[in-house]
Amino acid sequence: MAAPRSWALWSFCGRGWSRAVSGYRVPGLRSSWPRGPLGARLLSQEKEATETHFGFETVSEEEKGGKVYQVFESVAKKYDVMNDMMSLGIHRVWKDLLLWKMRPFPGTQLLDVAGGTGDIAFRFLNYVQAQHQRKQKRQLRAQQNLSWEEIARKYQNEEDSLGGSRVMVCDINKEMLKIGKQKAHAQGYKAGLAWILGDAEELPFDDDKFDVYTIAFGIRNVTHIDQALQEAHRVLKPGGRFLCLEFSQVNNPLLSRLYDVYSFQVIPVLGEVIAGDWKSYQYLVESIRQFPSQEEFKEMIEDAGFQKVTYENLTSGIVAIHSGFKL
Amino acid sequence: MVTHSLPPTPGVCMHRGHLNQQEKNERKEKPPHTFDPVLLEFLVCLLSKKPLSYEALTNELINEDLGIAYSIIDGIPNMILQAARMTHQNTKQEEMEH
Repeated sequence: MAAPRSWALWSFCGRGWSRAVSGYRVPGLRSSWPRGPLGARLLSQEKEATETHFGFETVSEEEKGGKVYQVFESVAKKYDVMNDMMSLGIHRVWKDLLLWKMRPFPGTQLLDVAGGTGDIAFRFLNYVQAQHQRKQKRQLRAQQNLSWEEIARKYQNEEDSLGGSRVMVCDINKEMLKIGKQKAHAQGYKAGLAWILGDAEELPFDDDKFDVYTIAFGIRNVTHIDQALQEAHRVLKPGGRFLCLEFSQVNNPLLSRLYDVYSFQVIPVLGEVIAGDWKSYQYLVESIRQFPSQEEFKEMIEDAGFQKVTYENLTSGIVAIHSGFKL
Repeated sequence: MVTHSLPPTPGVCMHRGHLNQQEKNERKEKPPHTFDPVLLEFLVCLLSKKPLSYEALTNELINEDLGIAYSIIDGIPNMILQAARMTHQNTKQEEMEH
């Protein structure tokens, strides 16, 4: 299995421990775990051996989920404002580019994971609606003489304006979803949109359900990225597309220096001044550094079963869009 | 002001009593918290991967076979396994109360 060194090291540690422990019962440990079948699954990942990174800190895998939750709970309200400030508005272009790469057609079923505040979902709905309107315009021009029935049909319910497209926004954080829902309401998005509180590592969907799976600036916060990728593969229909928009490694050395200075000196300060939260933004910039490079992540996606995996660097590699297909 | 008026759903009516000016403003700001039945086509139980049924009384999604109930808060189903509750114990409690 082609995996980067550090990954191979701790997945090996985890497996090594479970083999040693499988014959030995640890009753004390069980009580602290969540009840139900999930507890049995956690038995294979011993707390002491499997550690992971939380920014530049080392924490146990169990802790990471909770800490990430707290970060996003605290930044939720100012999330969009901070995105604009930190990226000088460029995040909007990145997200637009993701949609243009996706080229959804009316009828597409999209699953947007870690989509909390809805940026991708709203862009998707806009895109599909615009496409549908263009199609209707073309039809109009083609047939100038409409019958009364056809005219009457045009006045029907708005579901038609999306042509059957649907987006499900799934996020693990309640606060982010709440903000997203409020935004949707404020901006008038109703049809074709659904919100779900769910875990990227364990999606509450059946197999082969979605045409496109997106995760924008979310996957680096997931504790087990490989599990999230496997779930993505599972819920996509054959022929479905995986798209990931994420911060990545800058390929230009000069820009890299400037980016580091900006990330570590400016962003946490902005976080403190605007959102009153230095630590969360410190975590954010550190987590970017911990995320695998474009090539490494590409290999991880291939390991999950995706094919024709490619990536495209945006803004000299500050951000990259990885794409793969389930064939 | 509020230009589009949504028909009040039973859930919403129970929460808000008389709509005074302040509550009318509140209603405009808060999105409707109704559960969208479309979700029933997509969501499945995390354990059995079987479809769920919607229980309007408790506002939950239920997997009857395994007795798991996922709650719905503000119209958003909570599909985290640790947050779900087991229904079998609760039905026993209800029987004892009656």
